[in-house]
Amino acid sequence: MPLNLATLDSDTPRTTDGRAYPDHLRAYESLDADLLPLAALLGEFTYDDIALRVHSGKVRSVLPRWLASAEWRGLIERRDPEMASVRVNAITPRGVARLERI
Amino acid sequence: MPEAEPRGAFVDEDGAPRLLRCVVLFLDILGVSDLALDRARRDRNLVELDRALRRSSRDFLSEDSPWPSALLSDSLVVADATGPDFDDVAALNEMLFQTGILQLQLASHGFFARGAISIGPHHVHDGMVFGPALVEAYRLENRKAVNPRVVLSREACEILRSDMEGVSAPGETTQADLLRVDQDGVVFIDYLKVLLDEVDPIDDLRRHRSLVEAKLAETRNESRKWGKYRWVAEYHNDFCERLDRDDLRIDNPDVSPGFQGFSLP
Repeated sequence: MPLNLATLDSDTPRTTDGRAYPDHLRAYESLDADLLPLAALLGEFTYDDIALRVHSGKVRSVLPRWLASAEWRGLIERRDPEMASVRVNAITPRGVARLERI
Repeated sequence: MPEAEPRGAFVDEDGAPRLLRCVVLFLDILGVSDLALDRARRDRNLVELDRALRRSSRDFLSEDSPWPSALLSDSLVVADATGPDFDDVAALNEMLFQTGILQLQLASHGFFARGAISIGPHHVHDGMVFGPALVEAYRLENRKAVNPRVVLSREACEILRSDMEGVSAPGETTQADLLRVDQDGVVFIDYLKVLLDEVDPIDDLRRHRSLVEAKLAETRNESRKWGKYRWVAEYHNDFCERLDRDDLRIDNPDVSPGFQGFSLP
């Protein structure tokens, strides 16, 4: 289900069918400062691409949660080249704007 | 930018192999032998297995992966080395996530897996896999997992429980979130929990239900196999109950979950 773009500036982004940003992901927003610069540097990236460049064990161990949180907030988006391919992410203009405010 | 060299770390300066303290996953993908022996569908089965392991959330066999792995017939071995910046708890929690993602990735293609996670000395490099942690994970998978679940060694559980003792909200730790305790007291990975991070988990949960129902129907005359998928159905229903989504349950009178959360004793 796609994100409802009108809700991205709110505290609780929602999908177009009304599902809300899960509360348990909020704790990972503090990692934006560590991980958004890496996402910007990499352009398009797979999970392994970014994991290889995270040197803090604590940050790397929760990387899946940060990726989910960032996707929910519209900071990164899926750019899979085809249906049957490994997941590819990329930073969005919203993500770049967030990075500039950090 | 410097990059971690997970594979290179398993050899010393002279190129000699060495053991590193690792979290090790040994995972047996169920039914792979049957798929390989199925003359009519083996080519297609190979494509499906490749897709399940490499073309979804992550490529679990990538040469450049931070988690060195090896596929041995129907079993996958994945390692996560600990180090100065990566303690036992971080490595274990990371492996819980990686295993959950892998189990979901496999299940979404109709593959269910049974496995175990241990921690200890391990070596994986250039096609060679060796070490006591691998042996322990293999033995646990073989003797304790029984059902399509990934269980943890006693040491791994002790490390994670000890970490929970030092935090103000133990129920909010990664391990409390991603682990579940079965009716026989065995701790296993609550892989469907990973779905809750997704923007759209409900379709995936519906698909999981359909796949488990199909497996139950397919194995109804093979009681040993059927029992394994009954366990998956019980786990699925337990998850739906926690999610308050009774509409997504598997409707079968023989399926009755009784699991508990992972907590301090």
